[in-house]
Amino acid sequence: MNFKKLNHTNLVCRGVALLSVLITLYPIVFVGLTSLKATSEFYNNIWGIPREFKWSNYYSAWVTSRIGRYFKASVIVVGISVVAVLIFSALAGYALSRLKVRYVSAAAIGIIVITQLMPLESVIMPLYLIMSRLRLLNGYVTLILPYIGWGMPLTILIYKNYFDTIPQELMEAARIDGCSELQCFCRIAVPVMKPATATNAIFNFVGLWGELLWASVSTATSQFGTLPVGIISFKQQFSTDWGPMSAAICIVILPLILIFSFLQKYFVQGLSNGALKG
Amino acid sequence: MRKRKKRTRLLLAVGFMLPAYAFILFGFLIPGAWNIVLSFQEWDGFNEKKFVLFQNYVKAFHDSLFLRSISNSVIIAVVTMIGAVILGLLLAMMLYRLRKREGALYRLIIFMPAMIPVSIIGLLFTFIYNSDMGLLNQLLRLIGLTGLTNAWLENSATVLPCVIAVGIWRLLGMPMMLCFVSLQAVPPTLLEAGRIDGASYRQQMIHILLPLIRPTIALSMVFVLLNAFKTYDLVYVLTKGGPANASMTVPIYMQKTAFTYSKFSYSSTMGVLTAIIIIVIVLLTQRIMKGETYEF
Repeated sequence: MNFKKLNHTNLVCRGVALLSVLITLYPIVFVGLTSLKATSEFYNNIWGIPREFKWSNYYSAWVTSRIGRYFKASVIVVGISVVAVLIFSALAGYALSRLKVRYVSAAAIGIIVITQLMPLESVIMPLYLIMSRLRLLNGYVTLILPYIGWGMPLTILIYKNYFDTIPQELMEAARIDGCSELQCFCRIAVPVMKPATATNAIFNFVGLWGELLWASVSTATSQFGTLPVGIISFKQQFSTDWGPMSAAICIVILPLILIFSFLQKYFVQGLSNGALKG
Repeated sequence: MRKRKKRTRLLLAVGFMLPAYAFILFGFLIPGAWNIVLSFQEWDGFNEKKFVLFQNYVKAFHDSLFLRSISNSVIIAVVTMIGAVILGLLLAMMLYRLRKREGALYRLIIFMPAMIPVSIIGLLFTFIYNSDMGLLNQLLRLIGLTGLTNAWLENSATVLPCVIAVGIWRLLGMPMMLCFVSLQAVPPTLLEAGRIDGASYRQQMIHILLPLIRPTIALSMVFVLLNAFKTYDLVYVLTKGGPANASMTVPIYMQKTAFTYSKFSYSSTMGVLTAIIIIVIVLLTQRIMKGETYEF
């Protein structure tokens, strides 16, 4: 066997992989470092690590630029939306997978396909008009209602695919023991579907945490807003203050990186399951 | 008896699905339907609506800014897709060679940008493209290529490639991950057979693995494409469509038309046209990638 050649290929592979890792990480690391530099230091020392950690950048981003307030709004909006999406789509996914009713199921899947092909941008404006007519343009509801709807299709699909892989016998047994359908769902399905729930929770969280278009359109006239909105307005006011700006960016990214690193196993699993089988 | 059972099952199914679909109705279907209706009307938000049939559509085809935004949108999406899928596939094949732990770590890192909000990615890259303090220009100066420094986002010649580069950076991880997962599903005996026949690694990849994972490649193309069409956040943060509309894309033009100029019906016409174009491009992609699938 041609041993030398094999090693050569491995070396190339590793080199390219490392280069891609570097290119991927650098912008993120750069922001992390910049967030700890004083603005004056930043101009003299762009590349290096900060000589003196300036944690006050975080303070000034959080308090002075009111990122803290936006953070709180984001936590409430995203938290409620994700929980609601998970509950309702788990029910729907279960029904689609287990209670096969001919036309209803087909129609339900059809609707999901349609929503996947609809560009969300074309929904924004009519939705705004509807919400303003319903007088719902003033607070958390404005964001939560559409967010729940938007997260639903993909989440239902992932749940459905997941339930499809659970052996029918498991449910049959419970049914024979006299469980009603709702009991079956709560006692059998809910504990079994934990991996799918983890995946869906991350997907929805990641999707909503940074949502900018609807958030900026619908909160344009109010004081209230979510993190992305806050950061954009921050950028427009203090675009040369790279330190606090980077700190604000880190505040947004940090929860995502934490969640991702704890639950990445499910994330990747879910991506391949949901996408490949869907 | 049987019939009754069937009926309770129907009621149960509907009951289980009702809340979810109520939200979908509210978030997608009603606004979507209204968007289509509006596109055939003339309405500025205050006066009576009146039906004008295809007048808005005709106007769109004569609106050079709309044509430019749609071509920008398509160029960004298609080039991003091609770049991300080719690079992602190559990377997946290279990572396939590495040891398990090592490869897993790299894959995780390369996938990371896909879960950072697009608006934040936009901000990250304003740091990179910034004309005086930006990293790209600093780097060029550092290695003595001062002549190549550029006001990347303020120059209409470089703005689109810059946006596309960010798109590839962001989306690369998805096709990489999808292709990697399906590469792993290929039984190693197939490669073994190729190796015994004297195929090099590259030949094994091209002649054995590539045809086998073709469906996954097609899928990741569609996946990336649909994502790459969502340019609002990125372009808004990077350039707002400038300089002089050079990077204007449909979502930004649409929101501007609706919320700055109150031409609601014209904005919805653009929405319908964009949806049609996206669907056509997705179908075309699937058509091009269609071929034999192999069971293994």
